[in-house]
Amino acid sequence: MRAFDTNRWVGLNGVILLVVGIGIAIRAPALVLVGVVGVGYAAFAAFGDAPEPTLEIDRTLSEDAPDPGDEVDVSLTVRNVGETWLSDMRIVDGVPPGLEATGRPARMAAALAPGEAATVEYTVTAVRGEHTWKDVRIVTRNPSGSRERYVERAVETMVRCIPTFEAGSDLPLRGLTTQYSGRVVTDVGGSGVEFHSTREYRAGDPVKRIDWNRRARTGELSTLELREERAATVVLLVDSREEAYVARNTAGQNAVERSVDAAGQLFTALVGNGDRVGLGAMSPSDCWIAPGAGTAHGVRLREQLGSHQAFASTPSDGKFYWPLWFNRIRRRLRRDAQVVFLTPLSDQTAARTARRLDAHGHLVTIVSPNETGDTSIGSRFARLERELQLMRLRRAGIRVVDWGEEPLRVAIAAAERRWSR
Amino acid sequence: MSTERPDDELVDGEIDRTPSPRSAIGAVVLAAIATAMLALVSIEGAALAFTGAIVLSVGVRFGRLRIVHAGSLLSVGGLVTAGVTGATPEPLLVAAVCAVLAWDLAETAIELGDRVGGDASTARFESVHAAMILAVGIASAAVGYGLYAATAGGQPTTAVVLLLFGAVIVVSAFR
Amino acid sequence: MADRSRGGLVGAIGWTATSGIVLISSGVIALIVSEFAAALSVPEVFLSLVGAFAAIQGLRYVSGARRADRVRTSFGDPERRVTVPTPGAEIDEKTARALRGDRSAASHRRQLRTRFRELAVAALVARTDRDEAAARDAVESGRWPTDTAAAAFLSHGRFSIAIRARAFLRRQSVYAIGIERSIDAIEALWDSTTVQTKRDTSSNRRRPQTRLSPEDSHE
Repeated sequence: MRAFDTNRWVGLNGVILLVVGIGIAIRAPALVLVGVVGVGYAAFAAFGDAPEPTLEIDRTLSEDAPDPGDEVDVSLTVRNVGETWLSDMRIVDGVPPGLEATGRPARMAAALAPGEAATVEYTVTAVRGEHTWKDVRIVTRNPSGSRERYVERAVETMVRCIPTFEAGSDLPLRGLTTQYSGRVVTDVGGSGVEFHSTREYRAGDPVKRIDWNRRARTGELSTLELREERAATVVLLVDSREEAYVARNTAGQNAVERSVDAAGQLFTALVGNGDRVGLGAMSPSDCWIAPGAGTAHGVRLREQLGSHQAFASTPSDGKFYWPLWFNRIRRRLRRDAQVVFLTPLSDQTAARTARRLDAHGHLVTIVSPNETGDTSIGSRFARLERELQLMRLRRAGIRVVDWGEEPLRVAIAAAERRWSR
Repeated sequence: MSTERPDDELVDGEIDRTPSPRSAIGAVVLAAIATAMLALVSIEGAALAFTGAIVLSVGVRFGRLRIVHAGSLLSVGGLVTAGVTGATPEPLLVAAVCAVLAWDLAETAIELGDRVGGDASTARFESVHAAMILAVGIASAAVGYGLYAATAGGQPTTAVVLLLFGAVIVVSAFR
Repeated sequence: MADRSRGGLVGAIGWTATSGIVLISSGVIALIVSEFAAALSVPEVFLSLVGAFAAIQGLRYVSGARRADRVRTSFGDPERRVTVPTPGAEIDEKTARALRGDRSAASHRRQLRTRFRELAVAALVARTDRDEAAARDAVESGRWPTDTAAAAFLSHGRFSIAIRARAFLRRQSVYAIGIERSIDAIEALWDSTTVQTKRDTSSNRRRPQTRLSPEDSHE
């Protein structure tokens, strides 16, 4: 960028004229002398332009794949590799928007002779996602500070923070997935919990499934066949349009972050139950993983949740076209797929999506982080609008988990009690 | 690009925006020295400069540039008063350099606090900057005093006046 | 400032600087050659006049400079996490604009009134036995709510003398009172338990005092 005047010494010329003028008018040589000092500073202020810096910038992280909540030490070193003296520099590091620098600020003021370097160290607390550092912001000034220049320098640094998404072992899922077509009880014998039939023991059958009563009665070894349950197909759909990025207080997590955390917990628990789980985002940046099972699938899901742009703590760029998106998700959803839709219900579009999916025959369950408060007229208005939406959705037969500040499992358990009434 | 930052309410974890303490203390000390120098030659001038020093200290304490400027103008008023009441040039020169330095440090303290933050590492930068401003002051005072000494015997105030006006015009033309 | 079309010194640095340099040169000569200084010496009165003129010009510069704000790059706060709006922030912004009293205020008030009416009608339908048409009629005619300021805002009616006086004393806009009372009224209606079967089971913990439901599903 071009250099510009800062107006820092504006007024000095006036002061000089005033002092010297009075000195001449009343013949006071001492005042004229004071004027000389002023002229010296005025010349200094007019001297030189804000330099265009030639810098070598280096950023190092103590850890580039931290767990959520870990502290990462960042060290930014700026070296003057040019010929000019950089007598007055302000440097601010472009901390990624999703991260917060704790403790010391990520900035410094430096005066660097050619070859000299300065370092600023700060700490960020890792949160889920892939975070890329923005440009380093630099201001240089001439020695008097009367001219200033703003430049940006890119230094590639990235940190990937992918959580394990521990599911609480007590996450109640039955209500979420079984009510209509969930884990369907089949007529196929196999493993399960309900008795189906018995057959002759074959080597390799699990000891647990040997019919010990029969063994005691007749001495034969036989194996219990249990009624096999077919796994449900569940798609976790996260609303991460720009409208969904809301938060009750700016310091805490926003609705999308909570939704993604919830999706992580749910998917771990569902996979643990043997369900086939898929993942999608209602977002300008496309994200889709078709339902599947198995360890490799679980790892993929975890990676996507942890690092895909659609699940980031800041909104994705680009415009969201609901009709296009809806057609795509409709084609992707298999007929029997159930949808767990995670959305703060911050506008009508989310509710409409739920109703349309429901109308297309999918079992829709909304898990809605509640971020509304009562601090202002607007937030009170938003609470009423959201509660009205919840009421309408429930009347339309769509199940809703209204998730306040309590742990997810508490909210789901409460919702289940209501559904089973 | 913006001018003065509006006073946001302080939120948890916000960057410390208070003026840098080193430069702020330097500014207050130098304003006090300027006052002391004037006290040697003129009570009235010293009184004005003292008020200026107080105002400047308040301004730099609360990070208000306009108050700092008001204090600095009062110091200039003190200098003029001392000159009008017939002060000798030497203490006046020292007081002038100290007054400019006090203003500059106050402005630097506020600007640094605002843009870089009170906790950031700025010590080296601040000392380099202060040394530079001081050097400019000493150099120009020396030139001025040299001229004064050279012309003390004769009468050519006209010459000095011509030099000064010429310099002011040239400098303002190049701004 | 400088006229760059001229050649020579003037063209290079402009008239002002040139005259300055001429002044400096004559000053240097006057210092060295005392005869020149003597030739240049001017009447005392003239010197005083020049001094006074310079001092006045100086005062003008200084007072002018007080209006010159500092210009500097603002870095923003990259250290802080990006902040997202609170739900309803757009309503707060609209409210602020509607109360600002400039040209667009009336249009913002109209938009706000539409939003508030929709909410009021929906709440009335949900919580009373009115159907939509009756609820809309009650809101638009000013029969609901009973609070006159809220009713005046929602029905676009006249504010009573009492409300105007209160607004004047508080140095507030009547609309500020109307909007605030409107949300109060709608909230009170929504949180009331007149229709038990339509009880909402939201987990909003912040306003337990208005939530009289006997059993909330959360322990």
